[in-house]
Amino acid sequence: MSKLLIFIASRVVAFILTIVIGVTVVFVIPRLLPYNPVEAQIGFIYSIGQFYDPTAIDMLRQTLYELYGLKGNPLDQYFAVWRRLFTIDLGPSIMNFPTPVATLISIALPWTLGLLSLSTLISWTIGNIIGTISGFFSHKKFSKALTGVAVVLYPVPYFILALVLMFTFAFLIPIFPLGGGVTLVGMGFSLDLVLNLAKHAALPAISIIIPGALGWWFLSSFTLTSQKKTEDFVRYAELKGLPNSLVLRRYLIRNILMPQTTALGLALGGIFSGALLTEVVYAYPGLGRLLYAAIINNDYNMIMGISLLSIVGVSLATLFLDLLYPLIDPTVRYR
Amino acid sequence: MKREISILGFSAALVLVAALALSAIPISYGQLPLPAGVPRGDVLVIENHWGTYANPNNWNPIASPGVGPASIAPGGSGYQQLCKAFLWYINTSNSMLIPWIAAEPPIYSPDFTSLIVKIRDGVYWNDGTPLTAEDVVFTLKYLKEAPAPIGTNEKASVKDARALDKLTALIELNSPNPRWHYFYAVIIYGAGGILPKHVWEGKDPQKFENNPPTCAGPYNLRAVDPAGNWFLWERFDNWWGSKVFGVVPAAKYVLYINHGPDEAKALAMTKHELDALRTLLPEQAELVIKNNPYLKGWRASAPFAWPLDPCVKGIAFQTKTPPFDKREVRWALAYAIDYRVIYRAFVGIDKSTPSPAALPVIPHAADIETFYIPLLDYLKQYGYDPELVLDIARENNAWWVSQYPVLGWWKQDLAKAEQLLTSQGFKKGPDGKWLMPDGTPWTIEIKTTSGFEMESQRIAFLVADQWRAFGIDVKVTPLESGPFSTSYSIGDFQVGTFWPGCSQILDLYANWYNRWSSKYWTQKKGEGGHGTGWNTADAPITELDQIVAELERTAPGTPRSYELYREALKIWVRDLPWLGVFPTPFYTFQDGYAWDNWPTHPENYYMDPVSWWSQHLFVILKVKPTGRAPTKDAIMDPKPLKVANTPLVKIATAAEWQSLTGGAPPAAGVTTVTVTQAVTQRVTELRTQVVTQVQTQTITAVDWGTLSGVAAAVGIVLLVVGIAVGRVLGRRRPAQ
Repeated sequence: MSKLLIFIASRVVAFILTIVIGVTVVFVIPRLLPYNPVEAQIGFIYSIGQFYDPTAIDMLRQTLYELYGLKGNPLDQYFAVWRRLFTIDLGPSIMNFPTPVATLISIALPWTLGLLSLSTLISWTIGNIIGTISGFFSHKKFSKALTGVAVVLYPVPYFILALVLMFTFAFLIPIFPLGGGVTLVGMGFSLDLVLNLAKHAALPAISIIIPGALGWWFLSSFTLTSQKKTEDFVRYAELKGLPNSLVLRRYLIRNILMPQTTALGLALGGIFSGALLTEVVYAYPGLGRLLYAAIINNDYNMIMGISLLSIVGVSLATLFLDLLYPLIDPTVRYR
Repeated sequence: MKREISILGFSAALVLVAALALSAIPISYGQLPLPAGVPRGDVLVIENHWGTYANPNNWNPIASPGVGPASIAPGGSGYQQLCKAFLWYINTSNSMLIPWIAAEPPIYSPDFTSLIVKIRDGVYWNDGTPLTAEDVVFTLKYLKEAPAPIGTNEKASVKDARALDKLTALIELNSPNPRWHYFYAVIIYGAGGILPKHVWEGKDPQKFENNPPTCAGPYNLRAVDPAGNWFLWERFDNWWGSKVFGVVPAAKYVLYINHGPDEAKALAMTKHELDALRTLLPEQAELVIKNNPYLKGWRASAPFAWPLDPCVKGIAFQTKTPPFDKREVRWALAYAIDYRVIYRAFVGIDKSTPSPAALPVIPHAADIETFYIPLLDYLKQYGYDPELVLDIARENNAWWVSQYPVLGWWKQDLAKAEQLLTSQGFKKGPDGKWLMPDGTPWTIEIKTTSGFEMESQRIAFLVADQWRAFGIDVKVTPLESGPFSTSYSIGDFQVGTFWPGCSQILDLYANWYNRWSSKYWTQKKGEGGHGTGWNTADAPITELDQIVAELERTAPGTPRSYELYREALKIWVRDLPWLGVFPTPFYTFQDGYAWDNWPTHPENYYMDPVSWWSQHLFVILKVKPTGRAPTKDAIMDPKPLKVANTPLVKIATAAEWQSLTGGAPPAAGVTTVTVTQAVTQRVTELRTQVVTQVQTQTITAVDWGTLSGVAAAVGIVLLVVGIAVGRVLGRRRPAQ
């Protein structure tokens, strides 16, 4: 068998193992928490002082254990989860009973995908372009200025930045809405709809792009470039008299792209867990908020559904990256 | 180098152009989701306090057990305020019944085993189908037959239901109950509504999405945010109420919207993009108070906060966990508290103050007259001081000081606390700290809220400080709502800021029910529902059980029922199973910019200003446009709504019952009821919803002063960057 095939097989096995371990961990952890979705719901009833009765409460409790799939010992439940996953049935959401988890995820997923994939790509692209250029010309003033900005922005807590943006661009200079996903009455695909969606996504996206592009992506590509440009092969290219632009494009960028692409892949894979703070601050619908609510309410099925997406997302991204390396990394060959 | 600069410049230009293009999109009024051309003055904007609905298309009010936080039924969507068909409402401001779809209060047979519901003539669903006794009968039978957990109450309590004529339904109960109609009367939240038979018949009660809902209220659902943040309702001009009562609501549209975290809500209310909201944290409340001159709250001017939330917050003891199983220990801990410190900590920046509640009874005026004043002498025997916080309350112009200067609390008495503890074998160690009777150090853990109901957390820390000062080690454990509710339910706590003491109306039984009689309190510690573990089946308090048993044979609203409540309250005081401090104040702001005639205390107190309760319908029917915001279809001078406030029930005599039911089936005609029958078979309403769970996010506690500072700092940094970039671009030195 060729080395390539062995390589692919080992990666696929790792991919499957990751998912099995991930699902097991996601199954175990919520069950170790000091609470139980059924009793928590009963507790809710007790804390509101409404009309109820022990007979009814007992009936409710038994029914809920059954309906939520929480009857039987943990091992039975564990195998039941796998049975369900194989039939692509994530079960009903506990907090939104009886709506299936799959329905709720399908409502939230497009928002998360739209916002996060675009903003991640944009911030990656901008961050890497300016980071690499600044790193290459690190003695220039613009480079120092940008580095200063990045160092200031990077540690600013996200929600402060998000609230400052909201305060500035939705209140003082009200060009963007305070929050929400869309505010068009009478749907139907139209330019108005696209613009309305864009307008609502703008502030959340900017709040992700600014710290991303000017923070992490800038700093990492800046550091990588500053480091790489002192290596011998770059020095050699310079001594050969190659123009700066050529050195940058042919010698540096490809080397910097490799770790940055890996990070991008992982970031894209991680999209599936949503962006909780963005969604909370801008009342933006998405998976992060759904997952947060699921954790607070111990909605086992929902936690499993979203985590599974995330696990599969990151594992798939890793798998693809492993398989793609030969294409982007000049130093990797499978022969 | 030029090339790189041009890339930089191009990127910057791209971002700039995109921002400009987006900002050029025309903004309708503010950013509200309204049909094209609708002016602000036509719309009443109410906070969707529930947040983002995971599935905004499910309008099935019965499928969920109704206790999950995300079902569609709660007040965040407007469904229960504008659409749901309720037979009766209870006016929480005076504890009277408001017959709505029913023409009058329910008429009970003399033995309370049957009741008659008379439907108002001329009521119809918004699709034109008449709403009749058939719908009532259908609803009860449909729920009775639906798979559990749907209709648990109907399954257990309703023997049969049938229509005597088009407008009269006869409901026979499995056991006597003079309060059965509370299942279908809005106390505040989650009461049962009548289902339209022509829509629901033959539908799967669990899967039917009921989308859009067929309403019997003055509005129909017009649009829903696919993202689950807002719900737009449009006035139905042919509404039955307009014909029967002669009123048309002023607002053409009612919008329920979630703007996001408290900061966004505060900004929205400052911009007049939100007319009514649930509450805000103090920092955000301050922002609105300072920046919105038209603001109203529970009162027309400051202090604004509504001090009569239906649950008394405070500290609950797990009375089956030593040493909290001894009432002397519980009382000692009460005497160790300086109530003035807690009270003062809750005085708001607008001078809002809480209403002290030593009893588990919300001190509405009627409750003060019925319970607090008659019990005053008894309470004083336990150290109740009616003047304890009178000076603070008076300083801050609290609503009750002039008329009812009797609201106080247990006076701090450290000597008495010591004596009580010593009598139980506690002693003080050489370091001045209390030791348990077995000689081990005494450490109390207080479980409290985290991320929601933050007021309760504040109470926990304040109490902990005072118990520490008294010589007890105290640990405060904040918990998210899931673990918090679980630990309460199964009784897994020593002390917690739970709130078993709720009372929405003067007929306290509506809230007490199975928390006050041992026959209903069968769960052992560790089992869900055990809670505080007071008066349980394994250790019953006989005299309390007798009182509750008699209450179950006594019609609500009668003088005897109030005597019985007072007797029960005396036993509660003696045992002190939990320590309520007060209902925590809510900033239920109402914006007077676009809309007026909001309910305000005391001059226009026709309803509590609580936008997430079903009763808010009556506010929506009464508000008027101010004319400050442009209008097109709003009714500028709506006719005032006049509806009768009636007693809670009617009890027929044997002869009246005979004539009402046409002679059949004859009622037993005997008023004696055996209590054991009532015990085993009564099952009550499960379609309740959380009343007082504030889903405040802890991440939102940001000081606006700091924010402006940060904004300025970011601005300066950006300016510096701009200058730096400008200089570089300006020099255009050749690349090295």
